Amino acid sequence: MRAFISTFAVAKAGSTDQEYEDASDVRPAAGDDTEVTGPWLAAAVADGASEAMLAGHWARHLTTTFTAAPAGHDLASTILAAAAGWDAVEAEYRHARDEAGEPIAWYEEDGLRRGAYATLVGAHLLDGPTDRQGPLLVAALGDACLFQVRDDKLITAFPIDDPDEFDSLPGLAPSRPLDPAKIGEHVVALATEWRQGDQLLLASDALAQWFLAQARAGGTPWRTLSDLGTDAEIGGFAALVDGCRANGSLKNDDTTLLRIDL
Amino acid sequence: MAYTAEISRSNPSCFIFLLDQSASMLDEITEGELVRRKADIVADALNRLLRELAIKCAKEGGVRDYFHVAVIGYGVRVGSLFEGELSGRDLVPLSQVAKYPARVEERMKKVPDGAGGLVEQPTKFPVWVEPVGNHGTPMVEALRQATVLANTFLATNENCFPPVVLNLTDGQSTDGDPRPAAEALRELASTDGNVLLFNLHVSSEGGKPTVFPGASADLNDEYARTLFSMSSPLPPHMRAYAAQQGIAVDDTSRGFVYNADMITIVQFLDIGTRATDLR
Repeated sequence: MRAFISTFAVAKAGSTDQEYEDASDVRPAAGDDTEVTGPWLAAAVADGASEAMLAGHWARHLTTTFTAAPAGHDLASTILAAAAGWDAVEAEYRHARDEAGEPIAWYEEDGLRRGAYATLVGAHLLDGPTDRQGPLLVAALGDACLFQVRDDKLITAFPIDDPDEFDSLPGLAPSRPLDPAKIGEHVVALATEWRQGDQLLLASDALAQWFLAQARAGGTPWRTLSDLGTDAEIGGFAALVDGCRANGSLKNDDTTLLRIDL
Repeated sequence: MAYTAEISRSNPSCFIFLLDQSASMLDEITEGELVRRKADIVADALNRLLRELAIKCAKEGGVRDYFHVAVIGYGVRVGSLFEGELSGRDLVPLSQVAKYPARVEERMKKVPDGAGGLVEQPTKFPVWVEPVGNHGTPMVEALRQATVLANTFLATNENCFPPVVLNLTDGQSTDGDPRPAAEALRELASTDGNVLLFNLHVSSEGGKPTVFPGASADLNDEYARTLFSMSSPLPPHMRAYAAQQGIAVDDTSRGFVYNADMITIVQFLDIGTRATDLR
């Protein structure tokens, strides 16, 4: 397959870029605006929960664990594999704080003990009999979404296809699962097919909700997102996000788009 | 739609706690085999509320100032209960409240052990207010001071999620009928809705603990009925969240609890995606 990867990210208004808690990852490592060729591609977007400590760290850890896992690997197992590495992530953070002379405060201890939470959507694309189409395996936990556009039509919206279904209580992947079996009960998966010429859009919840609302109103939000150009023109995405936040159509939240043009 | 304003550092909200410190608060309540003074119960409730609020807003790098907080005591005098660095201050950004408790205790707390059980772990427990009880109950003056503070906050935060005022008391006002002062407080509003006045009532009269009762509530205590009538109706999203927590509510439910916990109100406030385990 041949795919052109573009990623766009804007932090919540009022937050700094360092406070951005979404994450995205693609393998084989694409770099910015790079064409990827090969027999497989893995991509993921995660959204760290605002009320959790180290949510951005967990979102990054989840996306990189997902893209490193084999295609078709059960998402619940991938999340548990990421969770198994969480103590090391937290220990590194505590060490860095101690080194900086800023030990963990009492109000941080509960959150660190409870662990971090994030939503996740991920996709594996595999070559089929030809390199122009093949299996598309998608899995998700929570309200980060994948959209598939073909011939200027939205043909897949997963796992949510209704803009009214978003709220502040999505299913979340925990870094310290209290009941690991529950993860499997909440993970959803979809097996479909990609074709050359398709566009796949992976989005965190605010953008996904905006996208579905625009589509339901008869709009073509995929064209808007296609017109953004490349990472080098990220100003276009920031302007779109600012404009939509200002007119109330986009929730003020960290906003992430990972676009795969096939 | 009301009560939907974003709560953020650029659009913060505020919490004003009113703590009854009158002599009647030294009366004891029997809860099963446990006997506690009302003053101990409300001081503990307030310290836990402040702790939960700070933890809810804590991120790496500190507590975010999603809220400004005042703690007003009423008994011998009416005024701020903050001590030390915060002494004499009224509305204080939450990060400062978290940074400067009067002291920090270590208590044992039961936490999940990761294998379906619970294990006791030492936990730091900050203390901002101590149990106190003497003199009368100037609740009307306390509500007036809350009105001044809320008004001051609204003057510079007109689009905020409305200030929440939580009054912790046994209800026996000694400086007049508190209902008109409560009404004046509830009439203040941001563009997102009216100030919310909630009441946590501790009583030695006994009776069933009650959480967020509605019009049909059977409140046999005169003070409970007064405090219930002073309390704001729960906004729809708070009712929905209470229902998710298994609390029986209806569209007449008010922000009032009788001999019960109100720690849930911290969870009612929406600052983004909640960190909750899968169910």
